[in-house]
Amino acid sequence: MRAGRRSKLTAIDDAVSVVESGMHLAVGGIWNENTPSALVRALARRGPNNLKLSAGPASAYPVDLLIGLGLVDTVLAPNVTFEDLGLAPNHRRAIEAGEVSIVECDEPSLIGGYRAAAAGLPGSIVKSLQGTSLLDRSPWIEPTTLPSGDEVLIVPALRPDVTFLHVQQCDEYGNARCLGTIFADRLLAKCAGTVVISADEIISNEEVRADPSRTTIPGFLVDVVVEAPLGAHPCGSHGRYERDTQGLLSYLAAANAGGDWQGYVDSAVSVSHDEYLQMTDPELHRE
Amino acid sequence: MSNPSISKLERAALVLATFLRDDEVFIVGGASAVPLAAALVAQEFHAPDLVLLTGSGAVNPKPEALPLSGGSGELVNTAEALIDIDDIFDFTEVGKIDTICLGGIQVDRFGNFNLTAIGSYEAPRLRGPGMANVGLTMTASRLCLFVPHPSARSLVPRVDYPTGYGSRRPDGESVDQRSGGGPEFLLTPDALFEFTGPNGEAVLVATSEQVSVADVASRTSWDVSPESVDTFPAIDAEQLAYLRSLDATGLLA
Repeated sequence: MRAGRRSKLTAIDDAVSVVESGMHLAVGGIWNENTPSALVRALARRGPNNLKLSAGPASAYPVDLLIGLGLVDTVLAPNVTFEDLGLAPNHRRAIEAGEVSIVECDEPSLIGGYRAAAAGLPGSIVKSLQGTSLLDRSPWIEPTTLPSGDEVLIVPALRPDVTFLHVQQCDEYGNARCLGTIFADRLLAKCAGTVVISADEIISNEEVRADPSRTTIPGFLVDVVVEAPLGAHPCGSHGRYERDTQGLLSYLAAANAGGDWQGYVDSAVSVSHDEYLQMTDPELHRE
Repeated sequence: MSNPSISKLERAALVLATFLRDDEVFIVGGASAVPLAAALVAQEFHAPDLVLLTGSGAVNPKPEALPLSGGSGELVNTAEALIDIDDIFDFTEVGKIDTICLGGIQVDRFGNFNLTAIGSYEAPRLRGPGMANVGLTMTASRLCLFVPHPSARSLVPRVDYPTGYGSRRPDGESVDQRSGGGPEFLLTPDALFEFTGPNGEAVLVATSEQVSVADVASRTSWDVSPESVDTFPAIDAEQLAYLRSLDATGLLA
């Protein structure tokens, strides 16, 4: 008898069960593009808390949402901003109120940590941060002297228990195509214990094999695959749909002081992804 | 001939463009419509071999319209190459990114900038985006500071928290271990400062034709009393028309 490959396709609400309270979760994407938004909302419905949350070097909606829901204990994210739409309200307020702890980092320190974990090394050497104010607030980054006599910094490995990513296309074995900028997402796949990936579209393995140069994350790095059309919404998905600026503004209005936060949670987070899709602009569903 | 209707941000973009050169690698981050516009103008007119890099890894994008976000698909889809975070890490450490343009919630007279915390660090009145890429501020050859809305609250005597160091630290101490060039200038839509004072302080060197030195001083919390001051380079109508052709939605208007 011959064997068949194991499909990694999983329903969204089951997929997120790999995240347990107290774990380190990393979310991919860049600012409000290619974000695993539907996965994060599904996780919020399940409700593990005391998460250690990290992201790519620039982030917004997923980080701000999880903090706003009170599920985050510690955050590592050096650039959380909605850019032209304003600061990240929940992120900002939680830090000002001392409700979340920060592991202060910048881009080289965060990436150095992920790179070390991806290679199974205890830390990465970084030099650019020598002499910066960051070191006054980052006791986790340690100066050391190498046997060569070189003075360097060691950034300890940052190994997420779970990484959530969103791509445009993926097959059932986890061979993923980012149709835009991969940026930190492949690194986040390499450094994590478990990788959950959502895709706007599930494509066949034959289609993947027809052009393997377009596979940006090989399936053997991916543990769980979720079909999630518009899975980045209200953020954008490169090559598929632009960010929904009105949707992001609605989020920000709810998250800002005096906004109807509970209303947002009830209408956008507590509902299934299918129900969520029915509320989005039909124009976005157009291929 | 100057166009009297030019906006403040358009003016700033045209001035910033004059500083960008062929063969340097210039990176723009998030919420950076003005630096992005400056780079596109520079490439079109005087620096076709300027290398423009976005914070999302797009190399030499040619957007039809200035995007709202630094991560926009418009930058990715029109690029000639896409690099990833490992490249940015390596380029930061080795100093391959020549020029970076940064702003801040606060910038002080030494060019220290604050994207992190207003008030005390431990219990901030306002937490900003974070630490961004501090490493790059130490290894880039040229650090350009741009403040789109100058006021006594944004151009402060001393930043509450120095996310990145300027020509000197806020306490006046020198910045050690910097392999790059540090801050070269501070630009606002009204004024251009260089860090050429006796202790590396900002010195006003040029103003927009639309303002006086007194206007600039009223929006700056440190002493502004230049010995002499130039006017911004004249507005080039062709460059302004090109800039506007990229900005149908009026991001810079």
